[in-house]
Amino acid sequence: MRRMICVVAMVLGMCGGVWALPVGEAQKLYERVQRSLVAVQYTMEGEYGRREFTGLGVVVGEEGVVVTPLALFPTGLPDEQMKAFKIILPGDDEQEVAAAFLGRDERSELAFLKAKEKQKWVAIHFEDAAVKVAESVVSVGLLPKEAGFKAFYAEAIVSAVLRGPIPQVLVSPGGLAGVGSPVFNAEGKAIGLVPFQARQSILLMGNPEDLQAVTAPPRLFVPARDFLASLADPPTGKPLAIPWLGAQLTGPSKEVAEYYNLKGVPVAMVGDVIPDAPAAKAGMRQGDKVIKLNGLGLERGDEPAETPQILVRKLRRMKVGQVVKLTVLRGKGQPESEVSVLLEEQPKGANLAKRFYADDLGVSVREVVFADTYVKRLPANTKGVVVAYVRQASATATAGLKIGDFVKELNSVPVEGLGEFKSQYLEFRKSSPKDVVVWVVVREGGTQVIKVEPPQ
Amino acid sequence: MNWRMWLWMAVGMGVGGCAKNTAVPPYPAATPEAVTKVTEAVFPAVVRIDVKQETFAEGKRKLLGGIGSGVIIDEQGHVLTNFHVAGRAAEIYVTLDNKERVPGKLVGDDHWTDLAVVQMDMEAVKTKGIAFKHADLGSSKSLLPGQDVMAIGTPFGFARTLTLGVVSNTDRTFYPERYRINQYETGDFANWIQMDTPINPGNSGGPLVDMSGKVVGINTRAAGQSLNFAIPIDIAKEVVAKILATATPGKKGCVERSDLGMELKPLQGFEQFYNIDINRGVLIENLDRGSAADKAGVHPEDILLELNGQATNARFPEEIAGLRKRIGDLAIGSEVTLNLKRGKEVITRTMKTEKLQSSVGEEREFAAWGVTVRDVTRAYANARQLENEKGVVITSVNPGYPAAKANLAPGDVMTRINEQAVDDLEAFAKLYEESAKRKDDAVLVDLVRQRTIQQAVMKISY
Repeated sequence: MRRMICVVAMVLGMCGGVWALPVGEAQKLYERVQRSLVAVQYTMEGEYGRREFTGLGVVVGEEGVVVTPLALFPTGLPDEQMKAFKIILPGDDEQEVAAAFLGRDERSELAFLKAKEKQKWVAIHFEDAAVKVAESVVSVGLLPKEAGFKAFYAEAIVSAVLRGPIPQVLVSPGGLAGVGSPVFNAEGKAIGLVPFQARQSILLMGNPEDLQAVTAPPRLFVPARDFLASLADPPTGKPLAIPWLGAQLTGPSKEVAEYYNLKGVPVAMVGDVIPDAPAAKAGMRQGDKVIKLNGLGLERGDEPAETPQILVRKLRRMKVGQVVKLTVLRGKGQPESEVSVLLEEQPKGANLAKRFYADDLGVSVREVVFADTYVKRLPANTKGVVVAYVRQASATATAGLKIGDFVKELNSVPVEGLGEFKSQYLEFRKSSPKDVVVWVVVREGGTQVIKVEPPQ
Repeated sequence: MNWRMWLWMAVGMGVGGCAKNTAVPPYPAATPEAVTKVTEAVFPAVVRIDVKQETFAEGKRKLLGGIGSGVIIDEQGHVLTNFHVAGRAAEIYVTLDNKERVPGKLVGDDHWTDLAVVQMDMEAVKTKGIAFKHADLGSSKSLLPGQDVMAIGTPFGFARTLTLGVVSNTDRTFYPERYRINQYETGDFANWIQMDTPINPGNSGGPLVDMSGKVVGINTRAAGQSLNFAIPIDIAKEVVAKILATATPGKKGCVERSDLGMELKPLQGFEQFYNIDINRGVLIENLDRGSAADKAGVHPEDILLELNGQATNARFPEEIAGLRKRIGDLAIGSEVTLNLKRGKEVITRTMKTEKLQSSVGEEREFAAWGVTVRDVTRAYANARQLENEKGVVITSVNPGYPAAKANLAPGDVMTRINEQAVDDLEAFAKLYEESAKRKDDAVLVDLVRQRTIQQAVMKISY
């Protein structure tokens, strides 16, 4: 087929590869693909107020499964406050379909939704095709809401295939359609997806005249090979259990590798080992140098720092409960040894922590997550809640409470957890509607005693 | 509330022949006669100070030039000035009233009060036959708001500049703000004299003088718009005495203070909540990890009622500095008994005071590696949430030199060199010297960067 196109083009004296596809083919592809492009919308409602977010989605399943870049659902926002998910089918008879959020997939930096209504969904099926420098690629995206979600077509040539924690393909300046757009090769196969990237908007909202995707389009896409496994096994409405090692990994510089006689060997160096986490249980130690995963040498990144990132990404794509064998070198000149690590689920992030908003004080607190105690070097079992939001000009803001403060006591009572905090606060307010509240918080290694006076 | 710290040059007030025998009202006014008389008396004791201060930047020890003011306080040629003018100075020149210039040397300094004592080279003074006077140090205790005062100094290098104003407040605190001079803590142990007397950069270290010609303060900082601040002379007198008492020809004088490791907070507005009488006790807000009070089992939210049997009441922010000073003035290592209110109970805790430490450790340059480092102190470790106080922290790197080329950066804490533990600056210096002696061409560094642990190799060429 491709050969035929080329033959035809040669006859026409233009087989210089000016266009990725002959005009007719391109128009067909544009028509075909736009039926699979949708706008994904949801409402964020909580103490922050109420706001709608809209981004590009691609239908990937005939039963109405839609994929978007993960960045449309920032992990800084609490999951429990994301509501009213919708899939919008663009066109003159624009149609809104209620949808369910299937969840974030941190393995591939994607998020999934599923339409609640049955209808004839046209899906795009991504394929594992090799991407080569100098080949032509095309992509189709949607203009923002203000431009009626009109589909648009873009062409580019592959400039470089990059190795990194997430493999990415760099294309020529013509670029790609906006973030979230599917990318096709000259045979019309769906071979990649445009991820969120610097200076691009994840949102299909705003002034169409200053639309980056048109004036300075994205130039990176992720080859389908990287996310096919996620498409085959997407989240199902619950947060995915992502495995972790529980140890910091860094990429030693060339000089450090040389010091350990590891010149040219892709290596991940173990930094802090988190107590009671899988790596610690397996006997890994700070300073260990990981050189093999399940008997195979580590995959090299373009930069030494990328080698451990690639390893971590591989581990995250494994299953909780799986055992991996890591070959490590301990001291200089010591023989290789093998450790078997039983992968456990990584601790949940702040976005999944339950929250409580005290409207009179203008403050939200949330459950403690692993990162809170880790970063502040508090004992892992330290009880409390963490300040998640302080409303501007509120009583709490005036008193000087800050986001990230680790709350240890409320009115001189040790805080056991979010539930206890909430019931204690509500009870206190019932009996003392206007009384001051005294917080003891940990900030930057020290405690502060902060008195918050509610509006009288 | 970010006050800009300005260098000020202050003119000393000549005592000689001052109106000692004349009966003056308790708060003499700035009549034209008084102003000229005081000026005449004080000018010969005020000096301009030109310094080269030690600073560490770009991986090197450097000398940074500056101008300030000072006041001669005795016949031995001691000059009182600010720490931020002459502290850590490697080179000092003192210009006297008669425009003659002599070398000076730093006798000692105290960043906590922003004071330093310099001595003029008395040989040079003698050789040149320079006559000088020294100022009379008065008392700041009796100052009253509204009282006329004069500032003398070298604003913007304009030596012997006199300005006039009134005392605006005698008990100014910036609580809860904590100030630093090049990261050195300052201003914790005293409240300030606030005056509208104009002062400008270069006035720093010069005297604030009352209309009887006595020095009542050391002009130190300006916040613009007639908001200027001086260190009370009563505080300065104590600091000078301690510096002079501890200085030896080989060692700079200093002020050593006791520390318990408690942050105190005024109780105003908390009394009802903690069910305590108005004007009783002070709230303990924080305990430095590993400090004497922490180890003795004092908790945040304890209310300190008494220290060694004496009441410790601080209802207002203005009362905090005085309490800090009371703790600072205790003999180092002495036993202290605290009476604390915890909930409904009153409990007692006993501990020994420790020597007050700055969060800024000693700093040195290590030229072959192109790096300047500081000792990690407990206060620094606590503030940065480091695991402990072991190691040295990088303060600057010299571009193009081994540390910079190995991507080491300011803030990195070096914990091991060539797999040997770096406990402190001395240990680091020893490892550096040994490595230099061996002419190591590669040096392995273990470092803590924020919350990560990493390694780097510095490639050295000799």
